[in-house]
Amino acid sequence: MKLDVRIRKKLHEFDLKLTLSCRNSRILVMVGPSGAGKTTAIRTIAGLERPDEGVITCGDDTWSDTRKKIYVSPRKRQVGYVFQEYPLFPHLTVYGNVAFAAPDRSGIPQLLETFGISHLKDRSTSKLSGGERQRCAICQALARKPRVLMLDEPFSSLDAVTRNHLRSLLKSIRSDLAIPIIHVTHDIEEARFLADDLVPVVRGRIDYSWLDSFPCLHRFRNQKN
Amino acid sequence: MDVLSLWLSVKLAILSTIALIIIGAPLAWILVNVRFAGKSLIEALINLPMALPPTVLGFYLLVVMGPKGGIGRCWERATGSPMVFTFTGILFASLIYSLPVAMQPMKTAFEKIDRRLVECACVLGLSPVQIFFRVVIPNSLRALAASAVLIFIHTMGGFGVILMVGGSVPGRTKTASIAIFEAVESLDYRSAAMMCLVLAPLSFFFLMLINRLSRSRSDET
Repeated sequence: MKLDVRIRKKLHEFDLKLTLSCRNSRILVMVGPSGAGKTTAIRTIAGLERPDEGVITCGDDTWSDTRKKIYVSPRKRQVGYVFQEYPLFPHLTVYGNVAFAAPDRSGIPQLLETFGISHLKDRSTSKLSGGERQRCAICQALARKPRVLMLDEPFSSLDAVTRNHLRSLLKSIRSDLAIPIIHVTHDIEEARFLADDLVPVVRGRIDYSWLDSFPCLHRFRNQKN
Repeated sequence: MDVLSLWLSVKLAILSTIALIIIGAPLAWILVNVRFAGKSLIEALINLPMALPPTVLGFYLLVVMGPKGGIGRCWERATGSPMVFTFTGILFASLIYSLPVAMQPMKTAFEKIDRRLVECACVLGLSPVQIFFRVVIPNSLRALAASAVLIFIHTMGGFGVILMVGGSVPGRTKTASIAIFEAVESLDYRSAAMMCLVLAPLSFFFLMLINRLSRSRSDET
């Protein structure tokens, strides 16, 4: 399966204009300075915002096509979305959060095990650390059996040890997940480590020349997504 | 002491509370979250009973609920019985009278719900109705409880509107407040005092409960 995105959306200070595609089992990292429009881009892909113009397709399904006036609501896109600061439902336990929208609960124990939070399944989310909340949020998104996984700066507020562990975990499970993964970050080291494909976004545009300042990302310079 | 009137007040307050929570919660959620033409007008109409003197509100309700009024005529056609001077009539009037009181704590609580939780539920595949019942309501239980207590107290103390719409029919529309008023009018201070002795501690208890609920809500946030 392949996710194809071609969108244009007017933002306050500039126009967001992106074209990208992401294939199964690959992590596409959208990297760039804060306020470049990365979050708006994945919110638009998830359906939380509408593009002014463009087409978003996932496999054979069209999620959005402004010319044909097609717009599929976020709840029908079957997207796994890990929000920045990963909000969890405070009235539910860890298990309750993960199982919240799972079509089939049989895989949940394995999912909790993979992310190392099975011992926390009955704990209230208010008693979790940042890293535990983050793992819970990823499990919640994956339990839905998404067709695309999108993560919005999921590791930005974690300590270095937890961050490195979770990056490695995400990278190691991408083949098993067999879905396109879009990861948003402004952390260059994280982008270098995770990216199979890299899209540098600066003021709403894809700008590979931005990578010139970061030697560790030079291998992506000639890549055209 | 007029126990029948006291019971009627409690019955009216319980039914108003249940009905207003069921009607008010979705209405408050819609008003907080949905943009539509005429929203300010609807909000003003809902809040109007708070600004109007109870007798004025009672008069207008009497007119629309009467046999020649729009609501009264429809009701009579559907059920065969009049609306004014009946328990159904004072229940309807009480719902209109207490709706703004019910809505306020709910709206405040709904405004405080983290938008990301709603978006998260939406991306997870929940419909707006499912989001309301599975995310909004469980995270607003204290506000709903505070709202329920406020409705109960407000209805128990209703006088002007109830008197205008229901008159004073013993066992049907004569509530405790009206019974106290009539007892005082006929210089039966003993009966009035007895009923006040029941109502005052009840109101005090409920106010304490509201304070407690409000405190726990501010502790949570």
